[in-house]
Amino acid sequence: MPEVAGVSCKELSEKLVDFVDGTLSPEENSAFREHLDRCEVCEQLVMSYLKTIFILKQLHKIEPPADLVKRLRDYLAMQLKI
Amino acid sequence: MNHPGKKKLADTVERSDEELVAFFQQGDKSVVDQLLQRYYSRVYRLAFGILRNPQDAEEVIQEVFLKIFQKLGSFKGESTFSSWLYRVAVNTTFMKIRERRGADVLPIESVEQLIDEELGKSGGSEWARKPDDELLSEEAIKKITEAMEELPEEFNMVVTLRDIEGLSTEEVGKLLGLTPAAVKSRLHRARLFLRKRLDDFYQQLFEGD
Repeated sequence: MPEVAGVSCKELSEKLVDFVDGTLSPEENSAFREHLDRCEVCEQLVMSYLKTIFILKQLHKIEPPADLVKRLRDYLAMQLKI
Repeated sequence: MNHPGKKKLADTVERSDEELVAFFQQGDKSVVDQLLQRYYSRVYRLAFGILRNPQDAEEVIQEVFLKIFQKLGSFKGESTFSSWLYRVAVNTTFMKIRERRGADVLPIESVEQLIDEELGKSGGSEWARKPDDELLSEEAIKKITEAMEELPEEFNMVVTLRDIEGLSTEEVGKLLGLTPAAVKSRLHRARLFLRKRLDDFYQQLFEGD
């Protein structure tokens, strides 16, 4: 893969976790952004990667069964004799 | 466990975990309920997210809180209560996985290779340009849940703790005994794998747009 803005597509993919976390150095970050402005393949990769994380985060909203906490309380009260 | 009319000091205000632990250690067992309320959803999500079986998840959650409260009296606070709880939850979930899998465990390198082979088949991701409200649907949530089930537990655990529960790379590394680099590597592969599954789903969904 050719380099764009001094960053290869492979390098960009390998450092995506840091890019998303905002932990790249300011120089690396601006090189990445320049690469993304000029490389449609990587731009699509990053956009879909971010949307994947966004959809994944929706799973945080899964709630346990309503009666679980009661069963858990009863179980612990019996086991711990409290 | 709750005794109406016998309201303890620890019940009256919102206490920090450390304060509740101190009350417990001084003999006030009423804090069990507060700690349970505060953490049972997180432990359940972690166990259910990995095991995908409500019965197994409930067994894990029972075991986790039983261990926690049996040992809370001698808890010295070398880590925070929540880190300790997560560690017990992760270890108990892994024990359940081993119990389920028996000897049928793939070495991690083979798992990584399988994921990489799957990723080699990646297609376009035009769908990612769509606004969030067009992408979010019950079907999409179902699809990513199914894709999470396909992930080996070692990868699923990292994604669950990092992306769903919001822990930092360092926290996940400490919990799972992995270096930050190993956490990032598993996280990245897992996210790419999930993205591939969403690619397939959305390409079909938006075909002809």
